[in-house]
Amino acid sequence: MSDKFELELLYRTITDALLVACNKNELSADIGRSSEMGKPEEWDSLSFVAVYLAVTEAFRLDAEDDDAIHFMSVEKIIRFLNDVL
Amino acid sequence: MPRLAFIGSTGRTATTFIAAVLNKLPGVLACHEGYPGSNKDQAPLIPLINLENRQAYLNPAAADDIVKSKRNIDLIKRLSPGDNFGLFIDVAYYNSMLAIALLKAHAQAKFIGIIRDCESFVRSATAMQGEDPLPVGWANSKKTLSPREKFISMGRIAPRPNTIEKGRWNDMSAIEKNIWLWRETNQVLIDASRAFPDRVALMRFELINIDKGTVFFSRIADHLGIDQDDMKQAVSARDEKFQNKKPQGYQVAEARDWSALERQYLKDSVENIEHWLSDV
Repeated sequence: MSDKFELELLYRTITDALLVACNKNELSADIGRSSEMGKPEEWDSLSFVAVYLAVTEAFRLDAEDDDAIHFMSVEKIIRFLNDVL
Repeated sequence: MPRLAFIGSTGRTATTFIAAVLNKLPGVLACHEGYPGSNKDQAPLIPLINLENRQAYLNPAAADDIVKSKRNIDLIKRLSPGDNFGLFIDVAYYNSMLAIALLKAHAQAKFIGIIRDCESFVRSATAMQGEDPLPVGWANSKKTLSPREKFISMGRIAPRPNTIEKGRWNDMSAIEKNIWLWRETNQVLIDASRAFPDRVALMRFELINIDKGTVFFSRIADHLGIDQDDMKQAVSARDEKFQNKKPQGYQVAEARDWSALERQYLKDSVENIEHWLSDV
């Protein structure tokens, strides 16, 4: 089944959020389908909230903190977006 | 294969110190939230759990999955393979929400639930201003959270759907929210104790103040089958670097100065929990 949204937009949103949160010009690894907290290393507990807020804003989600569990990896975010969009 | 033990609580129960003392015992590897001997300078031996804590509370079936993926037997077997230890202990607030799942998954494991007096927990856990270095409890809703505080809050338990507290959550004060946090966490510990009475011991946190903690640690030794002389030595060799990280004191007044609503909620919640703790 194809995704209900543009994957590139998701990758770009996560990348931009991590760059701003970590005050860096580039990440130690590109964001892709296998990315998750700790991979790249810039995606840690401190930048997690930036990713969560950026994705909810980019995809206009009405997410609650209970949904944060779905934001620990790209794969989980994709599943969540396909469920709620 | 080492024996396993888990210790859980609401948080704000000296868990860092407890793990450091237990890690001094011969043949014991004790961690605080995965960090051996509470040493945060090295990587945790077992995966951290944060957001999963709330998930486990909201959905008990999720707790089984979390234990399967993050506290499974293969992970434990791989711990420090060069070391010779017969007992592995993890001390962490989130073990409370995983207690029943841990006990189901590890048939020989023991569990200790530490229960602190409600008023002192709430006063210790409630931050009204400034960054909280140990954000165990819900903060004043007007306080701006740092990214770390926000991340930890996302894993803190919050009311289940269709409950009275869910409906009034946004109107509850930080004190009320932390009374709720205390009640729910301890109820989960009590439920684990009732489900596995021979494998779960509940202990009062306040015991740690008696005779430099010797009574408190003696009870732990009893439940986990640790030699009492070894425990006495570990307690006497305690590392004084583990001090309370909130030396500035509490930001919340004593309960007698709380609102009538907060005092009533405290009274009801304490009665509710104490009902199950008459023999603890």
